[in-house]
Amino acid sequence: MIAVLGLKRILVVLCLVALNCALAGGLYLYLVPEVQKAEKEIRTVRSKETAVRGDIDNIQLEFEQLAKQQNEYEALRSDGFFTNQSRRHAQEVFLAAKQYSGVMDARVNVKPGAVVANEHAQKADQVMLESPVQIDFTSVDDTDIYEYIYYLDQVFPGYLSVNSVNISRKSSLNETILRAIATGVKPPLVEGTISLTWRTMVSKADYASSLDQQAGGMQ
Amino acid sequence: MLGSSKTVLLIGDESLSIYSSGMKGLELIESVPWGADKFEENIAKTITKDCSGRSVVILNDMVEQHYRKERVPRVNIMDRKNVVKRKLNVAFPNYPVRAAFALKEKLPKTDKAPPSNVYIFAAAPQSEQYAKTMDAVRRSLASVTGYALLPVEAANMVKTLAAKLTPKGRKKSKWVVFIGQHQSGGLRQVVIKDGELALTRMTPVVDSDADADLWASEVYQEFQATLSYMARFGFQTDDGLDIICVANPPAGEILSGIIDTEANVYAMTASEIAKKLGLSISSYIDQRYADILHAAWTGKQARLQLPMQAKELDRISKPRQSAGIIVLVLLLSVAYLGYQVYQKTGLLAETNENIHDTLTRTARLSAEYEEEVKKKEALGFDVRMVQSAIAVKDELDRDNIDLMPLFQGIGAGMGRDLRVDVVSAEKLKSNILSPAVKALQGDFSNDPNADKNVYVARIQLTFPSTTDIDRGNKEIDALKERIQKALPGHTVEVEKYLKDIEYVDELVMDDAKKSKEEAAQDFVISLAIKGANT
Repeated sequence: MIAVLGLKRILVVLCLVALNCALAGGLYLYLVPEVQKAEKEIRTVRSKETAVRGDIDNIQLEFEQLAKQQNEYEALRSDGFFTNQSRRHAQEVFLAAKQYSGVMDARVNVKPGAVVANEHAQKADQVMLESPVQIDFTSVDDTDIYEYIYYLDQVFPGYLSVNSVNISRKSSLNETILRAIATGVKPPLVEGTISLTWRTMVSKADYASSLDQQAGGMQ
Repeated sequence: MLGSSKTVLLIGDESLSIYSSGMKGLELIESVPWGADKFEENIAKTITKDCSGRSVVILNDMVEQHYRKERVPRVNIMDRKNVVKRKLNVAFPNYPVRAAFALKEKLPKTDKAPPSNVYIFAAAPQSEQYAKTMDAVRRSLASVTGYALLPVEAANMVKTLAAKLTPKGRKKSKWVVFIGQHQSGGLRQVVIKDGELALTRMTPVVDSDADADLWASEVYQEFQATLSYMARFGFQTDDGLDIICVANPPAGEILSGIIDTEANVYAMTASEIAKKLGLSISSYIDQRYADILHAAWTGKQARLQLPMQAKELDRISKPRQSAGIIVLVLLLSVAYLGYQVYQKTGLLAETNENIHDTLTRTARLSAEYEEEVKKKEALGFDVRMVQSAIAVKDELDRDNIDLMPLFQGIGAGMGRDLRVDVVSAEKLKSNILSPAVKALQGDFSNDPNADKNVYVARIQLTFPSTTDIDRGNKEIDALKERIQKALPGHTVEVEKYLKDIEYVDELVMDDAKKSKEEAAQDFVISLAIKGANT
């Protein structure tokens, strides 16, 4: 092969193959990923720049607007939006709601809370606490359930987001049921389920100290 | 493919002549006698160094060349190659260097023979000269573009030259004789008939034109001999004859004067002919020799007229041609990748610069923001906390199902007479899809707020089985309108109207004694309300 093609020709081919490999390797293993990485980074920093610009625009509001925002903030504070989600206080509110509404039964299940990421909370050195809540009702009338939900909406500390609700009539009024009601028995005519998420915002320092307290209590 | 800049090796009986492109066109580099010491080594060096390793074309100008005009029966195109090859083997069994060339002439069907094509079969011996040339080329490592017989390649040159010399309006001659002396001393005559090679002769004549009369008379004698051969091939004076002779002007004039045949005689120098043909040859050459014209013509052609087939040649030329193609492909690939690398490097540098600029701007803006925060804090506002808390609440509000207004709206729509059996609400899954994807999924709804809706609420009502279906459906439409009015920004749709029980519905009857009316099931209707918090 060398006698026919010559060493020089073979070396040229090998050099070109090596050059191709080097260029392709540099291009596809380094440059293309780096360009993609840089493009992603530029998108991130641009969005950060836009966010800071937005923050500056917001902060440069007139004094009156700031006062209005301050009032809104105070309303959140009085609603208990900045608390550590006390289960004991929540229990009291659920009992009060039951009494207020007159539902026959309200089985409440509050799952353990967890910290979730939130960009806005992060800016103010706060964390977001989130606890799933599920309530199963039985009642004679559906209005009792609406009253229960209304009470929670007004009184419950923090922010209760509704994920889903289902209220259904299980049986209609008939002679038997009317007779039972007349004798003082309350037959369950309506059933319902509501799935909620309880959210509050607490400072990182408060959250850390509450964790320390829990750890100390467990010891 | 042959390039325009090539080295041409002319195999003569006495020596091997090497032609290559120089500053002033094609020139004779060297003529080396076959018996010279270290012949192959020196030729290889000359090809590599003096000819810059350019691609080599080999032209056979030896006396011993064999030509046969053969008829080959017309067969289909698939078999033609094999038939010609077989015929060629039979025609020249002892000459492995051979080739066939189809002429325009066709022979019609006769009683004794089928319709046939006419070919020129050509062959050259595997002489010592041939072997030495191949060895030298192999040693030179230059790529080989082909091996051809000079008269066959010259036929086209003669045809082109005759066409250029014929004045406009004059009928083209059927026969053309090209007479040219080569450096070896031999006189090469190439005769073409109707543009195709008819015959060729290589004969010795006096190797100097110092005595122009002697030279012209010897050439004339050889021409007369050629004329007698041409007569055997059917030449008649009426056919028209062009005679082109390469010679210095004095000898050319004498030769033109003594040719007594009725013909158009052109005696021209090599440079004059090269100019007519558009060939670039060195002006320092002896103007009476014609071999440089053949070398220049063949070197300029993109394809050889009749490339000879030989195993020795293939063993050298094919790998070298393949290597050439590979190098070309690799070079193209390097060019493409290099361009891509250049482009991406530029893009990366530009993007990095933009990132740096944006980061600098963001840092400046952050400092500005911190300054503003401090100013507001001095006025008694914890701006960061207030704005963050409000932003979080707005975000939660957007994602919430605000039940109270929803229930109020449904209640207002229901009025006093209707009673809801089931009310439910749930969040919609985020599915912002293009209209095309929606259509593919079978969703042809035209709700402009579809992408903004956060939740869907459903209510179910039961109508007695005795209800008039038309009236009931009108009532449902009216209910839909009332709810729509009570809940602006929401979309209300009737999912299920009153209708007869269909095959998809379940029918349960547990008491056979009940009357037909009692046994009938109630109608269940359903409405869906989609919307978002205002």
